[in-house]
Amino acid sequence: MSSEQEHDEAEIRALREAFEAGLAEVDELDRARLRRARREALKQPREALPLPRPARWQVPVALAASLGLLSLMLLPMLNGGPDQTIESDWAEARNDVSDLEILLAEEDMTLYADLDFYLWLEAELSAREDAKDAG
Amino acid sequence: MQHSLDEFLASVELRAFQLARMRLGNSEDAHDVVQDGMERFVAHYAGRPREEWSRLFYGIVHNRVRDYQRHSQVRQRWQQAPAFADDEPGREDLIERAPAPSSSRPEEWLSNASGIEALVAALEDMPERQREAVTLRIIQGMDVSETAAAMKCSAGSVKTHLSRALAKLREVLGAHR
Repeated sequence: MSSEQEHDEAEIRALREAFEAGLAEVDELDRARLRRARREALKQPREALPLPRPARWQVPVALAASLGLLSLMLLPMLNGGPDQTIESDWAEARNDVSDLEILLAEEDMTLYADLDFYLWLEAELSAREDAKDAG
Repeated sequence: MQHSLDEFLASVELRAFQLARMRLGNSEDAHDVVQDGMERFVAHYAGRPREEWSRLFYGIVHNRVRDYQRHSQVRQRWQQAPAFADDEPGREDLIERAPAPSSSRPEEWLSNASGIEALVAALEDMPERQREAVTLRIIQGMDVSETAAAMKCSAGSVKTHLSRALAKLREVLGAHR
């Protein structure tokens, strides 16, 4: 082992010991609460979480995506059958939709709900300021 | 399966709680993060191979901590804005109730925290693989081969990720001494 690796190992040991020392200070109340949380978690059904309620901006986005897909599906029928271009557009559209699903699933929906609230709050406050200035 | 899952969660819950508490600065949010992390893990990842559990669980905890930090930052931004008049009722209450900011400024690490606290704060900005290596090796206490198995990479890669994380930490701490 090189001296650099030895130095890293010594630091890792020291950091780990410092973290372990902090664990010893976690009190019994917190430990009991963690055990209770674990018991509750183990009762969880092993299935997908319910889909979050969509935020206002997600509805038109989803609608636009659906219309795009629908038009891609109908175009080949109107033109007398699928061709290579339509097939590749169709594959691309499917990729876009899965990207959208991933983006929506990864984000915490409550954050958007909060943002909605803060945007509303901003509008209310600026209306109040305007009224004060006008008065 | 249930027994093995219980054992696994028992082995990570305290460490995950301490990690979340250090990053969020309060116990209440840390409890919420760990409870939510355990529920999500059981619901979605319990069927994954056992050696991947630690990496997946800490990944969930990391994401939940970031969600809490983002919420906290948004709340703070709005509460600090001069939207309320100084004499408006409820203004002080709001500010007093605001959660403590989660600090990631190096000068603050040095003034009131030890090396491990600095490292935990630095997790926020680390590339994902470095963060995984640090979490599994230092927080969860795995050895190099266990960490490599969990991360599905070689022992050499684990050492490289850790070495880079430590070098960055030294650089940040050194620059502010």
